[in-house]
Amino acid sequence: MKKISTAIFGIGLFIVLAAMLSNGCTASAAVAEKSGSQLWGENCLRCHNSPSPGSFSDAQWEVVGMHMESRANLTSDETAKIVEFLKSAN
Amino acid sequence: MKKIYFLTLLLLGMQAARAQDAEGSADSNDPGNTKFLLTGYAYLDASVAFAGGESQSNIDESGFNSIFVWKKSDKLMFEGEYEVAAISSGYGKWATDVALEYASMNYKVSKYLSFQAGKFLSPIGTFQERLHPKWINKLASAPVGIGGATRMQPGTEIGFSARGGVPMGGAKLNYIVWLSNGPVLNANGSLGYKNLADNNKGKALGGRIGLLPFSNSSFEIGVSEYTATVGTDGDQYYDGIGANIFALDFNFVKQVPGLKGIIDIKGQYNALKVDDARYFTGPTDTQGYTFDNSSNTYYAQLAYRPTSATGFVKNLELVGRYAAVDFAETLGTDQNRLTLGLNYWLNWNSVVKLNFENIDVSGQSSEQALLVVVAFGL
Repeated sequence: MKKISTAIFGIGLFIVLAAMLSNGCTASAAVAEKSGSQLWGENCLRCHNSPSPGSFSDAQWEVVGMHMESRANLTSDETAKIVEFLKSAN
Repeated sequence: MKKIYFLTLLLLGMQAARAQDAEGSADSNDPGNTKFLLTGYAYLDASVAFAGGESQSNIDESGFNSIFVWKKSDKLMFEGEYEVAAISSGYGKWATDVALEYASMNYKVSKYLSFQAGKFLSPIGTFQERLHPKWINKLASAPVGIGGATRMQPGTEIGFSARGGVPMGGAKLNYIVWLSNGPVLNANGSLGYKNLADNNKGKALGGRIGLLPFSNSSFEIGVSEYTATVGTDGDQYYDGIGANIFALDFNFVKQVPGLKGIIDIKGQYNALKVDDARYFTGPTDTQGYTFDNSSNTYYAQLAYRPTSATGFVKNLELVGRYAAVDFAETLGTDQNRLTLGLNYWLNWNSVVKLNFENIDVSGQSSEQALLVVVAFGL
């Protein structure tokens, strides 16, 4: 079991590294064009209900965004768009 | 395995340096840039337990968790959480529990990489790191074997980590690798996870990789691997004894127009293996005993919220979860739990949960309980 689990994890790790080191870290055009509103709707729900823009102030949204980028492993581009949407709709 | 991890960290460092060169130093750390957020949640747990024709009701626990987040610049952040809880410890008795949940310093190296140092929630699987807070967990209890006192993984780690999210065309990957003190082997073969002081030179190494294959991020599957030396250095019987945890997790959340609501499916599987060793029942036991020290646990959860409904109904949520734990011989009694719940959401992060839980412990008659939780996100 240990060998199997190590092999599964090793393959996953290899894929991540291969992507990062081969300039593969690019989003498709459809993903890159997603709006902050769309990303907010898709990502917050993965763990909890989506907060309304009025839940925090603009300054607080910047802090929340950094916190969630770490906690949920969001990409930086996703975080930036979501925070901008929440601030603009606030 | 450890060589793989070290190679990973080295490559991440190379990637970080390259990304730094590419991005330049756009960050500003000028005075006045620090932004602060105080948030958290409060909760109350109550239960009515039924066993052997008798019932017992109790207000079990009430507390609050304060979360402090400082964004010092676009690259530096500190986040910390402490919890204070009054816990019922028998008729007329309460205990106050104060604990540091996490306290970590984060440095964002590039778009795809952040370093973290301090005490952080265990990233094995997803429940402990992302889903365990009372206002996020959709049920009143934690899945047996993965959350709470029976869990087969650390609750927190003290050490260092590297993490990030990486776009890959229409899909997305996320990763975390970490190094920490790791668990301690107890005298009966179980593991102790309060790892403030390490009992050996070997550090624990862990990693989790999550793949979101669909462009709408509705589905994520993750695999975690964790390996640690748990025996005490120099101990006649346990020097060099190691342990390994493997976990699989999945998450599917989507607004389904045909069902006029949101479907949320989550699950996690943990397998824990400790190296073979000889254990002793007491100072007079010279023979000792050995056993296959392998345990595993899993849960699967389904939730539905009719968000397209109007009025009272759209705030309701139905949840069901099945969890089971299979302990290694001598370390515990196998059990499974079926939990059914009805939630009412007062707003996006405040909820009243009413649950029915059936507990089947191997070799014992079933027990049932009604569980009530009120949780307010702050």
